Amino acid sequence: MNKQLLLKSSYFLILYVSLSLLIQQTPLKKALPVFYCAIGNTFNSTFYNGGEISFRNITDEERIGKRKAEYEKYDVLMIFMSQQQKEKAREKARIAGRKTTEITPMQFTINSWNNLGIFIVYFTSLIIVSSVNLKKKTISFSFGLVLIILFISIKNWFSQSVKFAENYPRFQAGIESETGLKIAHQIYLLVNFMGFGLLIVSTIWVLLIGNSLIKKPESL
Amino acid sequence: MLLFYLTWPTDLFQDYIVKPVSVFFAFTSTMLLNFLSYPAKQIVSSIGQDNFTISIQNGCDGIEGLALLLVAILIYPTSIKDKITGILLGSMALVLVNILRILNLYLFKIHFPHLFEFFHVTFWQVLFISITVLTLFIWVKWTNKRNTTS
Repeated sequence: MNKQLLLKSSYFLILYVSLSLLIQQTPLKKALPVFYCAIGNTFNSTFYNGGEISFRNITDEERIGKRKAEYEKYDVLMIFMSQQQKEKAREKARIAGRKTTEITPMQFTINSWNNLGIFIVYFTSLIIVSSVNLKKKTISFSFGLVLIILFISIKNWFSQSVKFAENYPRFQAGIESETGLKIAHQIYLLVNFMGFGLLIVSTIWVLLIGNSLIKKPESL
Repeated sequence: MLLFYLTWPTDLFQDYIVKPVSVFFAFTSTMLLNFLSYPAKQIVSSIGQDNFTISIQNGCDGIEGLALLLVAILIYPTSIKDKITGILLGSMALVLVNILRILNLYLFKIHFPHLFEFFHVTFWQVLFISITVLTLFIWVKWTNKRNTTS
């Protein structure tokens, strides 16, 4: 058995656990949901036929308030509305002769650690233990992070497609076709599976760093 | 792997592969827990005692790791004999690690419940994938060494 390989694997695990604890036990834990919301609001704020989504961090007051039981640590809120829903509410108000109307959005929680933090920490640990120079590590980390964010956005898109479809009468936005919805649902189940995410991140690491490691197997 | 991921969410795969595998892990882990004097009871794919139950679901059944191991060994260019050895020994290793994961989580649920979530989501998911990859590396080195010496 290769001692170097075991040593590297142990180093990776120690690093991974340490980084996870560092994020979970320091003020960094507050940065993660904020970062997740920023990604969501940048890349997933509209859904193709009128859907509107906003991501919001759960405040400390909300976390200790009466809805405490509904929120897990690292949860953020995904708030759903649609242009059609707004239009319908305005029309209803106009018919009733009211000047104002209230639109109730629908909100769901999404865990920023399970959906993003774990992948970033896993990828960072893999990059740090890789036997490549600092320049390669920095470039790979930057590219990898972009690809992870892209993966998260795709995951969010599928979550949103399912949520919009499940509440179609309310939003009148999202996928209408039953076959399209079935496909989206299957992909949603898949991309939300953490093992799949870890495999995607591992693949990103292999694509960015793998060649260098294969060229220098002795350095593993 | 793509084929695995495409079939994995289907009802057929869930009913005929995931469910029996989960039941097997629940049964084996319950037996071991009873052996260790814990009053665990198996209910289909769940293990529990009076005040809590842990359910062995997708992600905790080790199927993904096993699939990864199987696919990698099958596509690696080596003899059928080495492939069979790799699949048998590798699968056995992963099954053992998964039983260890279930036992560990069960014991954490009893003795350190505040750490359960960390070990369940953060620690074991990554450790299991890492052990799978490590098993593959070890097998590749072993089969390469055999091929070089013969």
